[in-house]
Amino acid sequence: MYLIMLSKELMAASTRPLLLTILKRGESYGYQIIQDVKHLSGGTLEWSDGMLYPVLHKLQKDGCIQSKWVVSEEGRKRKYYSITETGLGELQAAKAQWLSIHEVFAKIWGPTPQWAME
Amino acid sequence: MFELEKAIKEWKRRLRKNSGYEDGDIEELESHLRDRIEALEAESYTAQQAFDIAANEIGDVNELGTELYKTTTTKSYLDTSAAMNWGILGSFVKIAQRNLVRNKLYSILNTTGLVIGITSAIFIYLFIQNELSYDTFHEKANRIYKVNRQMERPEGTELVGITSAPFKSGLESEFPEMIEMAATLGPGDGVVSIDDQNFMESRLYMADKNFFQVFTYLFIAGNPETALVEPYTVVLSKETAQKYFGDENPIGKNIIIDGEDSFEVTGVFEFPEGAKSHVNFDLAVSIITFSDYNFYNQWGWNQVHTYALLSDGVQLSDIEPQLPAFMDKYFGENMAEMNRRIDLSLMPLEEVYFSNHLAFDWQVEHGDKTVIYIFGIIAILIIVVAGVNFINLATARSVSRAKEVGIRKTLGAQRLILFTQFMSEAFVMAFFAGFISFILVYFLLPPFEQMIGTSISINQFSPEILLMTFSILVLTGFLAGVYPALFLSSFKPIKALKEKISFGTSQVVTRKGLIIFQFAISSLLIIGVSIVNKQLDYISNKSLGFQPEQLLDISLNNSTAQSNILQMLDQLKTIPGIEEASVMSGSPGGFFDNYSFDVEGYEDPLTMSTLFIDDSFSEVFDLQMVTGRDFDRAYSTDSTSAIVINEKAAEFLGWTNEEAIGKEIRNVFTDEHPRFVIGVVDDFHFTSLHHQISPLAVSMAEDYRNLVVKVNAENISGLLPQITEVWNNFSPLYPIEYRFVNEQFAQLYESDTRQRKLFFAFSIIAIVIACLGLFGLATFNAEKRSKEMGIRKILGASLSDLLISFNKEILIVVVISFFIAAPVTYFLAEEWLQNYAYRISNSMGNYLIAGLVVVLLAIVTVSYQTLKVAWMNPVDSLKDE
Repeated sequence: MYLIMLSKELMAASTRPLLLTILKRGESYGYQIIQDVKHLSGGTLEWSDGMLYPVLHKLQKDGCIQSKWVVSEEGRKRKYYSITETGLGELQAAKAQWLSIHEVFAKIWGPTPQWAME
Repeated sequence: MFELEKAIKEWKRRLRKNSGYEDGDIEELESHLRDRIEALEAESYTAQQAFDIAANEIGDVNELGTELYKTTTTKSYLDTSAAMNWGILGSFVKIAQRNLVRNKLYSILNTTGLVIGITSAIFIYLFIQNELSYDTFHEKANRIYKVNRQMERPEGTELVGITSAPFKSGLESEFPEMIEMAATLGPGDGVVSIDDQNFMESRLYMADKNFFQVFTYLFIAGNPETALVEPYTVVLSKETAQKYFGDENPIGKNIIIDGEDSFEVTGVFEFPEGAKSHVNFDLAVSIITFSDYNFYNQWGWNQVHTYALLSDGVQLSDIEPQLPAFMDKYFGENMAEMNRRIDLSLMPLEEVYFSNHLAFDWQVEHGDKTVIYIFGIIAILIIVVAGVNFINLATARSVSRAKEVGIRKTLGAQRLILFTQFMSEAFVMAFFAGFISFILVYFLLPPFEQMIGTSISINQFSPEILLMTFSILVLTGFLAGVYPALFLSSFKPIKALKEKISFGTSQVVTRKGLIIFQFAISSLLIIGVSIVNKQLDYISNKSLGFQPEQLLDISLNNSTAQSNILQMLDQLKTIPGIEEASVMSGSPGGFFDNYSFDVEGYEDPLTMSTLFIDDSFSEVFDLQMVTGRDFDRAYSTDSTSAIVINEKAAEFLGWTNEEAIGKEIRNVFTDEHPRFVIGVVDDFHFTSLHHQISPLAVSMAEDYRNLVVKVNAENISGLLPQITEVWNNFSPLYPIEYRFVNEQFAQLYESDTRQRKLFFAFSIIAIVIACLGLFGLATFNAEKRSKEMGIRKILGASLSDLLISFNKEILIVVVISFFIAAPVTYFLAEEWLQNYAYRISNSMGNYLIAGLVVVLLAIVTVSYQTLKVAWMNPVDSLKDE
């Protein structure tokens, strides 16, 4: 398996739905979310950990997610994020868009493009 | 050795330096960092490796800060539809805050000026309110009038504050419809004995049974309506009762006054908290106790204050026309004898405290309305100067923000948002200043009270003060914000970004106008201060015509001392260091009688001040006889048929000093036969220099009220124990009461001195604020013109050329303001100097010096900035851009 580096623009566009998807599974905090992203992408999405936070904050500001401070058992303060109705809505919309784009690319980059058969 | 905690701390410090991080961001990232480090350590990395990897993974802290900043800020300017909700107000305040922090000098200058201004204004307001609160606590205050006598004198009409006791019943019986009741209060003092303890009470007054019905004092024991009905009863203040009897119930207890009579305590009153009164007493004995005394029965024996409580609905104008007839009826004989008319006049209670022109207003506390006006005006001036400053600086500085406006507009900010933005900046600063002022007032109140010599009973957090301050802040904030808000927000973005924005002519004119205004006020105050100082110095240094430092005035306050006076004098004169001792009726710097005289060559009696004395008086005062001689015991007739007058009296009576000798003068009240003038003495100031020296007639008579001792000036305090010992031999019950005559005179100018201090302080404040403003503008100008200066310098301008070119503008403005202020000040100074019989000339010199001071102040204020620019290497000012 070889490493695919995503372009900056694509990263920026995809991070929001990605985070929303992770949070849809249940509330989580920054570090954990990063671990999930790394795990899920198998290293494809390599970004500095810190850059996750501006996106989280922006999502919160737009009302897609909400946050609360929780003190863990070992006494560490963590900010937990969870998805809101708005967030679910946005995720739905994003999912539809990404899937339709995916479909287009799948069609044209598929094993035999239809136009090539003519 | 690597320390993880230290490393984390250091890392956090780097985060904190970046302003993009909001509260909580750093905490969140720290928790992330720690989680990661733990995970890495579990994979058996060392702490240092774990930290480095974790920190590296989080990424560049500055880049991250910028990203975080974007998520919180930019939105407001781009998304105008959401902009005008309330939430945005918070972001305006935040931006305002950031702008203010970024421009520290400007913010400090501007807030300091406003803080000083508001603080001073609050203080002055407190002072004025305090003065106006006198006598307002009485429930019937608006119906209470003080009864004064009005006398015609050669100098004009004179109001006399004291009356005799019969006025009370006279007024009550003559005007039963109009006067509900009248009350009497007689100032006095005495020694109170309880068991073996003696207390000298200087505020032991006599009051009649009506007093506590007319005036509202809170009785905590006894009945105000009946307390003083019986003879030999006394009412005590709460503090006095506590002093005498501790926690015991004082009602029914007896106290002995002056070692003679026993008085029963029938009431204890409390002064309402914070209440101020023109009369203050600790004990009030029933005046009816003294019904056999002269003052109680004789109309001409003036010793008490009389008050009239008008019936509900009766106006002063209803009763006034009938007062002359009243006086004719009861006082007619006296008036005929004296050949002068005396009338009654009723003074509303609210005016009593301010009637400091009243003669013989014994033991009455007075304020000065002029002072209130002066300080009211100063307060307004200070607040206006501070406000003008604030506005001026805000506007001047706003020009440098034209680019910011251009960028905002390009990014889509609407005019309304920009308007709100500038407004909120001005308001944030104004309200911050207000807040600081309130804290300052709170802490500076005690020293201020000390300075004005009275305690202030008004709360600084009273609604009026809050409202006043709030209005000032809103007005200042609004005026300071409105101009930049309207002017700057109207820029076309392209213009703001491409061109240099400068003020239009009208703005420059307005700004200069404001500086002229400020400096006119400053000039006015500087000239004012210098004139007030000169005048008061003049008075306190003017020779009185005798040496008050050497004189000690002992009050002969009891009959024992008076009857033993001759022996006392003899003993005193044996003390080495005492040069002379004399007994007299008047007190230097204090009270002198006025009597009517039949004078040779005049049909009608004339009034002059009088002094009755035991024998030689010229020696004790060190006075020179101009012509004739002083009294001499060797001439037995001197005590009955000789009189000495001062030069002023000779002039008043139309004689030359030589002509006066041998002329006949008779004191209408005290002498059966005329006396012959045996000498004319030098004029000397026996009363305050506020007044002209009055004509004075001195004669020998046994009217012993004051013992004046002339001592060796170096030794005056050292002699006190010996003098006191002699006193105690002859007057064992009464403690000695002495005054240094120079202090007595100083006291006459106490209110002047206090006013001088206050006036000085507040003037300094106004000037400082004006200079702060000028400094701010100079800074702004220097910034703006630094390139111009650089070019001039390159082209060969010398330092002085630069200074001239830079200061010319400001100097012109200051000079104009001075010429506006000078005539106004001249007029005001003329008015003020009229208060003094002996005054400095209102000469041009004062004005020139003050003008010079103002110009110098202005130059010093701007020179720091000017020099900074002038010394700057032109390369530095020209290279950027």
